[in-house]
Amino acid sequence: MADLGRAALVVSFLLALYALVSGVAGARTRNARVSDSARNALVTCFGSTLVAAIVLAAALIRHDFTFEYVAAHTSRDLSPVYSLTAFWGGQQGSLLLWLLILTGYAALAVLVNRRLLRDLVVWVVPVVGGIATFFAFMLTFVSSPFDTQTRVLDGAGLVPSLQNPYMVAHPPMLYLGYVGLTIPFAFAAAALLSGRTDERWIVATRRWTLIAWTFLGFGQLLGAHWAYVEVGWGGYYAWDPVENAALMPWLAATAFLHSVMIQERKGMLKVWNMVLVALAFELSVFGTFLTRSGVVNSIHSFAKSSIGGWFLGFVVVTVVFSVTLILWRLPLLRARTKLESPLSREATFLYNNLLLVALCLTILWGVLFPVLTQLYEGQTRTIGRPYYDFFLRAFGLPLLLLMGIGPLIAWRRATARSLVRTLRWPIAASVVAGAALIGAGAGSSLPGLVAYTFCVFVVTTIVVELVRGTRATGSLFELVARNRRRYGGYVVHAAVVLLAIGITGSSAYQTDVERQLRPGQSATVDGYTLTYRGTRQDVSADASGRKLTSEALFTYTGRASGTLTSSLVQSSLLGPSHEVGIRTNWLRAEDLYVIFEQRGTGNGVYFQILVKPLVNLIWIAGYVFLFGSVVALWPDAREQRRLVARLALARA
Amino acid sequence: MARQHVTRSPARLVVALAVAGVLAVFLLYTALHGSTPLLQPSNLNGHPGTVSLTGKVVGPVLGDSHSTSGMRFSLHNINGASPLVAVVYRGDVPDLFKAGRDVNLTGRLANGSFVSSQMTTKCPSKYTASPSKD
Repeated sequence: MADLGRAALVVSFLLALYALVSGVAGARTRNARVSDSARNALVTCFGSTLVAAIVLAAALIRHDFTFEYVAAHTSRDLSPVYSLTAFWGGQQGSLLLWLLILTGYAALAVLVNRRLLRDLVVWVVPVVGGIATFFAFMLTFVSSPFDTQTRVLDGAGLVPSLQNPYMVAHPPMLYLGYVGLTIPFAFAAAALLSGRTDERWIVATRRWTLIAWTFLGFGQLLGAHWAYVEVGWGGYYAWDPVENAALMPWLAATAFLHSVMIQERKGMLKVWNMVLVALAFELSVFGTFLTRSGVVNSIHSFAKSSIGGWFLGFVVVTVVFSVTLILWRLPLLRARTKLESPLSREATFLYNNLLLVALCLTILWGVLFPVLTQLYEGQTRTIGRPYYDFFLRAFGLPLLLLMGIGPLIAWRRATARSLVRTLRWPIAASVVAGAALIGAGAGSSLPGLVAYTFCVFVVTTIVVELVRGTRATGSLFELVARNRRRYGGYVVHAAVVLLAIGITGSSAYQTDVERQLRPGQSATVDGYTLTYRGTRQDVSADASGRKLTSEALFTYTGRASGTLTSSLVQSSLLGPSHEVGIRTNWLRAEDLYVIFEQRGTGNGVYFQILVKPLVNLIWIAGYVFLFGSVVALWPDAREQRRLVARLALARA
Repeated sequence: MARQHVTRSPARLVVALAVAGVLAVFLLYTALHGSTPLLQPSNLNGHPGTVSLTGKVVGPVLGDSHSTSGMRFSLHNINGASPLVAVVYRGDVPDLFKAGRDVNLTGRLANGSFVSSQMTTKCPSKYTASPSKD
C-alpha cells in the first residue's frame, strides 16, 4: 500500500511539473494543443493525488503501523473518525491535504473556465502547476507520509484535547481557505502574464475568493470555539503567531473582496487589487512556513522541522514572481478614472482597505518582531497582548464605523450635508443607544462603549437599506434575489457586528475572580451566587496512563439557576487537564465559566470563575457569516451575463 | 463610460508617504516599548527586569501554586542540556503542565530564582516531522 501511495505522489509530481513546463510553452507559443495537454495533466494530477490520499486514509483507519506516519499520530484505541483526523494532524499528512485541495480546486477552476476565459486559463495552468510542483516535490522527496517501518504494536495516539469535534472540522476548513486563495492569485498572475488585465479575472474569481475567505473565516471561529470549551483558560484568541497566521490572509482577502468592487465599477485600484491578491496568497504560504519552521515562539509548539527552509525559499520565489509581474505590467494597470472626492463610496472603500491592510501588516510586524530583534539586537523580544489589543481598537473601531457609512454614501461625490441626511437614522439610533449604554453602566470601558455605539450605527444602516429596498421591490425575498452579492454582504456585515458585540462584551465587560472554596462555601460573581457542593474523585487507567479525575459540583442561583460541574484530570502520562464547567444564559448570551484550578489547603479547592457577557454572539456570528456568504455565493444569472458582456467587450 | 487618465498629484503621494512614515515610527515605538526579551535558561544569566522564559520543565514539582511559597520546579533549554534555572511560580497552572513539558513563563529573577505568575504550556506539536525523522 505504501508503494502505491509513493507511486501516486511521484505521478502527481511529474504531472504538475509537466503542467508547468508545457503550460508555459503552450501559452507562449499560443499552441492550443500543448496548452490543452498541460490542462489535462493538471486535472489528472488531482486524480493521482486523490489515490495517494485514499491510501493514507485507509492506512489511518486500518491502524497500519507499518506506516511511520500512522504510528506517530494514531493508536488502536482511537475511533475511526479521530484516526481519520490524524490525516491533517501531522506535517506530512497536512502537506498531502494541501496538495489534494490545491489540485482539486485547480481542476475545477480550469474546467469551469476553459471556454469562457481560455486566454487566461492557458496561463492559470502553469501558475497552479508550479505551485503544485513545489508541494508534490516536498511530499515525494522531503517529507513523505508513506515512509515505512517495522510494524509496532501500537501508535503514539492523538492528544486528548485534539479529540474534539471542532478539531475534526477546524484544520481542513483552514486548509480549504489557505489553499483556495491560490486560485484568485493564479488568475491574477494569468491576467498579468497574458496582458489581459481587464476586470474579467476579477469577475471569474470572485466566487473562488469568497469560498476561500468563508472557509478561512469560519475555520478560525471553529478554532476559537475549540480553545474556549476545551483548552480551559477562559479565552478564545491569544494572538499567538500560529493563530495570526490564519488571520492575516483573511484580512488581506477581506480588503481584496471590497476593493474589487471599486475596480469592477470604476476601473480604479487595479494595482492595489493585484497587490492584495498576491498578499493574501503570500500570507497563506507564509502561515504554513510559520507553523512548520519553528522560527517564532508559539504556544502551539511547532518545533523546528526539516521543511521550514524549503517553505521560506518558496515564499521568496513567489514574492519575487508577484512583484516582478506587477512591475512589468504596471503600464497596463493604469486606472481609468480617479477619485473625485474624499467623501464618496470609492473613498470609503479605500479607507476600509487601508485600515484592513494596516491591521494585517501590524499583526505581521508583531509576528516577525522576535525574528527581527534577534537579527538586529542578537536577542529575541516578543510582543504581548496589549500591543495587538491596542491596534485592534485603533484600526477595528474606524473599520466598524466605515462598515455603516460605506453602503449608504453616494458614489463619486457626497457632501457633508447629504451624508448627514442619508445617515440621520443610524446617527440618531447610535446617539440614543450610546446614552442608554452610559445609563446602563457600559461607560466603564470607553472602547467598549464606542464599539457598541458603532455596532448600533451599522445595524441601523442595514435595516434602513433593507426597508428602503423592500419598499421599492415590494418583497424582501425579491430584493435579495435581485442582488445576492450586495445583500449577502449585508448579512456578513451583520455577522461582523455580532462578532464585535461578542468580543467587546466578553473582553471589556467580563468578570474574572479566583476563590478558594470549601464544600458548602459560596462565591458571588456578577449576579451569580455559586455554592461549591464538593468533589467526587475517580481513578482510572488506560493507554494514556493512570488518571485521577476530580469533579467539583456547584449549584448556582441569581440571574439563572442550576448545577454545573468542573473537573481536573491528572494523568500520569499527559499531566493535568481541565474540563471547564460552562453554563449558558441564552437570554443574555452570556456564559458562567468555572475552571477547577487545583486543590488548596485542607479540603479547599481553587476555582477561577468567569462571567462572560455576550460571548455566545461570537459563535452565532459564525453561522450568520456562513449564511451571508452562501447568499453572496449563490449562482447569479446577472453576474454571468455581466461576465459574458465583459468578455465580448474584451474581444471587441 | 468616459475614459480619463489619472493625473497624479505629487503632493498627495508626499502626504500618503508621510502618514505611512509616521505610522511606521509609531508602530516601531509601540513594539519596542511593549516588548519583552524572550530567553532560554542558558541565556537568562542574571538578566534584569521582566523577561519571557521558555524551557522544559524538570521535576520534582513541589508546593502549591496558590500558596505564598508558590510551586517550585526547574527549567532547562528545550533543545539540549543547559544550566537549571530554579522557578517559583504563583498563579493558575495551565493544562498539560508536568515535568518534561515545554512551557513559557513571564517573570523576573529574584534571589537566584525565576519568579513568575504567568505561564503557558505549549500545545503538543502537530506539524513537526515524525520523531524518527528529527
